[in-house]
Amino acid sequence: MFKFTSRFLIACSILLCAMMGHAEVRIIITDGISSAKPIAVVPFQWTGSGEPPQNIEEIVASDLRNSGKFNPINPSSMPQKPTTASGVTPSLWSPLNVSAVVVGTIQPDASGKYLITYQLVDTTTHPGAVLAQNQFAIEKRWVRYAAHTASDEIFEALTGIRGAFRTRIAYVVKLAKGPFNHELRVSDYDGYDQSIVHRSKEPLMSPTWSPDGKKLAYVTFEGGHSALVLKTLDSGAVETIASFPQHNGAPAFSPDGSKLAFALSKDGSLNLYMMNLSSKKITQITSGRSNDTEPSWMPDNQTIVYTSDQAGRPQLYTVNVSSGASQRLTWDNTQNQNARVAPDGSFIAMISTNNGEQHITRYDVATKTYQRLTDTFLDETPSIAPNGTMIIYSSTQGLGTILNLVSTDGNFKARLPGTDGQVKFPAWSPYL
Amino acid sequence: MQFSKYLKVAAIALPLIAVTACSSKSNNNAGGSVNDGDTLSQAEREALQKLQQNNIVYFGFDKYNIGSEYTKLLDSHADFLRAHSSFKVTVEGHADERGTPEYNIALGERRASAVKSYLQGNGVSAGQMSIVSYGKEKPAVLGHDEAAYAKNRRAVIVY
Repeated sequence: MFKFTSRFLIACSILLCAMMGHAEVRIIITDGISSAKPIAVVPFQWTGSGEPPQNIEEIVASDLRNSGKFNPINPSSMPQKPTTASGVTPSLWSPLNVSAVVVGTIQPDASGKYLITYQLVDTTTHPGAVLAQNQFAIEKRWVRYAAHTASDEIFEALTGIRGAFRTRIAYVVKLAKGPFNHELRVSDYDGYDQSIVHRSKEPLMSPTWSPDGKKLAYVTFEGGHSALVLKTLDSGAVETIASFPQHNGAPAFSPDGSKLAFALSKDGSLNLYMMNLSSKKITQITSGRSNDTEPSWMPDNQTIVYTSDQAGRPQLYTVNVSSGASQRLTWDNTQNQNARVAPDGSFIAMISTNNGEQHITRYDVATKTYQRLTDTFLDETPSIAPNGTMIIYSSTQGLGTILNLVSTDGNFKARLPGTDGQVKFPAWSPYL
Repeated sequence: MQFSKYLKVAAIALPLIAVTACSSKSNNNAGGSVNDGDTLSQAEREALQKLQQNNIVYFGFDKYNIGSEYTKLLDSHADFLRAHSSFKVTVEGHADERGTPEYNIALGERRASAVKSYLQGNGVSAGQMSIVSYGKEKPAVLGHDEAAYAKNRRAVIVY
């Protein structure tokens, strides 16, 4: 047994090393550039010798572009390339409709660290005014993080919306071969710095982040049966939450982190349950012979939106977890399922099916209106960014699945194709 | 349209894809006991091998009832399991790719349950059978047409 374990661990670590640094997903924007505002991110001044550790302007420009709200112009069309706010001549930028310019520097210091500075300069409303600025003294491995921090501050200064560029995504990759061909991975929201959380011979499903960003709950079929587990990312500790006969799945943390809702079918059909995460006590939320699954919490920590087939085809319902009072929410479309409630509760992202096509649809809670957001094939498993501006989901392309992004207004669309397997079950982290 | 191109790819790829259901392990029961082939006679071993090769029931779109063409196949499994009450099986349920992964678990469960109920109705003890639904996570064949979907809506009896 010991021999097997050690050989297994060695094999794992070799494979893990082999996986690092390549086969990451990357964002390819397909729609929405025309509605994005022109902005300029001037190449950062590098005062060291050789090449800078990262091109800060490229990271910041990618972040702003990936937000769907900005269209950074090509450096070759810039009328000037200043490195400080005082060097920015607003009148040179207005003909390009550029309303703000980002300038900055990166320099090495004697201790081997880097000092990054940036300034965001207004070129229209208050020409020359500095809208945001900061500086970061960091080690090399934190350079990308510092650039994402600058992006977050710039995005918030320009839109009033908190940036989500320092978030991560979790997703499942199904490799074409190898015994351990199901992998749960996490990476930065833009696909960089990928690592493997769990490798399995059997399918993995439905990862979801704890609200503190420290744990992932997900479903594993190892051993030929389903189990719902909770993994702490730092320590690697795994705790089994539910391993009853039949299905244990669809985990969803309450926004306050105190409860985990999930679906069990130990009594024959899927019903909703929740575990109090401090007492570990499990209570049943719904009962009956129809299937209730895919829970998602409203911000009140009391109401769950879920999928039920009690009226035949799957539709969305709400249930109060204390009283058990349940109500049908959606009446349109052939099917509505896999709800994900926005962080502020104002809308729900879901999968709607009409005429055999299934797409990401936004359901506005106040107006009770539906807006189809996507035109990809066999959309599933939406997950909303913590600032509510973007949805990541998986769709089918060819014979495989890839991740996609769509802005919650439907204007911006992007693909994140995997390079070494089918990618599915994306889960956007909370703010980290 | 690009989609038609995918269908063509699917048509070529389809025959290349092995039926994954055949590669199931000899033992993966929740009960923990091993199906002990050593206690079987040569004839019984051959019978078991034949059952393991003929262990899939297919279902219609949105259908969960067992077609009459499968009663003979299921009866032979029931006969064997009745005669060998120490043997345990897992009935795996599967759905086609339409729908969402967690909800499709329910569709696979209905199919697995239908097979379990049929076997139970033919004298197999409930304790010999467990159910697992993979929903759409383990397709037998890839492709986006009814031919592929029909091969994926299935229940598999695994010894």
